[in-house]
Order: sequence, then structure tokens, then C-alpha cells
Amino acid sequence: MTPELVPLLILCALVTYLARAVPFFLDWMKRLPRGIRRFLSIIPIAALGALIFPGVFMEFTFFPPLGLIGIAAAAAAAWFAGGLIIPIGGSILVVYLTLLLFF
Amino acid sequence: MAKNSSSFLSGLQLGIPIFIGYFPAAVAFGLVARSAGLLFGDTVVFSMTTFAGASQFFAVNLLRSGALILEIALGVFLVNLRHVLFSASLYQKLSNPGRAQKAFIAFGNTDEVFSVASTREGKVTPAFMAGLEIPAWSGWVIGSAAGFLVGTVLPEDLQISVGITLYAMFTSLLIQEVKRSFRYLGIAALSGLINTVAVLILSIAPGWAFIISIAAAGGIGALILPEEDISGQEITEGHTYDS
Repeated sequence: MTPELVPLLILCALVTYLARAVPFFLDWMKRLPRGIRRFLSIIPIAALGALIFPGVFMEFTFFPPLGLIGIAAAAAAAWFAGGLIIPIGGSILVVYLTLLLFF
Repeated sequence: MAKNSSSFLSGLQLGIPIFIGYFPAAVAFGLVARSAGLLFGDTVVFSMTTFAGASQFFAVNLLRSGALILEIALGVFLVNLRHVLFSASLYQKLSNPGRAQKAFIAFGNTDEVFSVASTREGKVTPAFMAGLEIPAWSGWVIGSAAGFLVGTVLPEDLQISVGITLYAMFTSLLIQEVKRSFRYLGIAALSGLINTVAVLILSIAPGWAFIISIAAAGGIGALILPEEDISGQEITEGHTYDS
């Protein structure tokens, strides 16, 4: 284990567990105000956008558009085939082939 | 008692597919963690204790970009806030859980576990939940270890290509949502745009930029999205949503 990472691992475990466990022990959480519930239900979608951008441009520093090629492949596979395995596998394959052919 | 043990088995039957689904994603996490400089022990302990895919990918990525621990933890907390809703909903679906059972079940209440449990008819027992969560957790932990080890033998071009895994996964998850409503694409694009401007142009630290982006896009979404988009997301047996 890396000693400097121990506080991070503990904090991540703790905040994840808190979000999952607190509602089991606080009954009023069953009836959160409507505005807050709307907000919480949108968060996963908003998070996806920020998780993808701008990170995807910074992944392949030697040729940033390669990231866009990869997620375009994933999006197409997810749209037509669905699931996670085919889009992820297909995306890796497209990026790998692009690397082999052009770099 | 007989009912409970059969419930554990019926949970297990549904938990195995989650194991199979988690495994490749966990392999990807192991690869990404290794390339970010985590050790084998760090990677496995992370998966064992946090057990949250998107958050772990996010944390490792931020770590690689040099973010502070506090920023990362706050970001992870935000990514996980949705679980407050999942747990509030699952709690109502559980038949008579004890305190220790609640504490255990809460730990494994991931998106996939929740979606399987919440689509069951009627109440679910703590034993059923254990049957569901144990394989899910095992798949995530074993896959993370496998991914880390595989990373040491992959050819270099392939290791570089695997860097797309995380974004391919997020994109696939987003497309699944967009199939339900095209407006979600707008919300995700908005938060992606805010985050891009914040990080690349304003040079705001990635952890804070992430928090600002999802708070802003989430807030705007909550204000402007029509009710049907939100109710599609609505997962608690809502009293407030009946009308």
C-alpha cells in the first residue's frame, strides 16, 4: 500500500458509505422536499457530462481527437447494441486499430 | 427460515449476472489504477472498501491530475449523492431489517444492485439482498485485481488504448439515459461544457470544477426539465409525486 493514499481511501470509503447508509437510519429522508429530489435525480446525468469532458481530450496527449473517436465508437455501439461490454470493447478496439494504422 | 434461505438463493441467482457485468468494468478499473501509479494493494483495498465504480474511476483520474485529497473526496461524495435516493427507496422495500442488516445492505447498494432489487415485486428480505450483493462485490474486487495484474503483461499500444475505457463506459451509460429522453443529452452537454471551460480556460482545479459543473447543470435541469423526465428518474415510492 502507498502510505500517502491511505487518507484518500478512507475518505472515499466513508463518503460513499455515508450516502448509502444514512437514509436507512434517518426516517425523514424518505420524504425529501420535491426540489431536492428533482436535483438529486438529475445529478447522475449531469455527472456523466463532466466525467467525460474535458478528460477525454486529455487522455491521448499526443493526439487529443483520438479520445473523441473512441467515445463516438462507444456511443454508436451503445445506441445500436446496448449494454456496456460491446461499447467498451468496441471502443478500445477502434482506438487500438487507429493507433496501429496511423501512429 | 426456509423462506429466508430460499431468498438468499434467489438473490444469488440475480447476483451472478451482476458479477458478470461488473467484472470487465472492474478489469478496466484495475488497468486505469495501475497506469495512474496505484499499487496492487491500493487498487484492491480501494475496490473492497469504497465499492463504487464511477467514483473510483473519478478519484483515480483526479489523483493523476494532481488534485487535493479533499477535492477528490468531495467530488466522490457528489457523484454518490444519488445513492441517498436509492437507499431511501430500498429501505422502504425491505421487510423488517435489523440495525446490523441495514448497515450491511447499505454498503452494497450500488446502482445495479438497486435497480435489480427495486424492480422485484413486493418486499425483499435482507437475505435476498445479501445474495445479491455478495457476488456483486466479489465481481468488483476480483475484477480490479485481475485488471491490475493483466496490465503488467499487455503490449504498450493496447495499454494506451485501454485509456479510453473510462470514457467509453460513461458514454455508454449516458446513451442509455438519452434513449429515455433526448433532453438528458442537453444536461450532460451543459455540464461537460461548463467543466471544460472551467478546467481548460479558467484553470479551476479539476475537483472543484467538477462540483461546480454538476451542481450548475443539475440545478438547471431540476428547474427546467419537464415532469415526465424527472418522474422517469423517480425511484422512491413517492408521496410527493402522486398528484
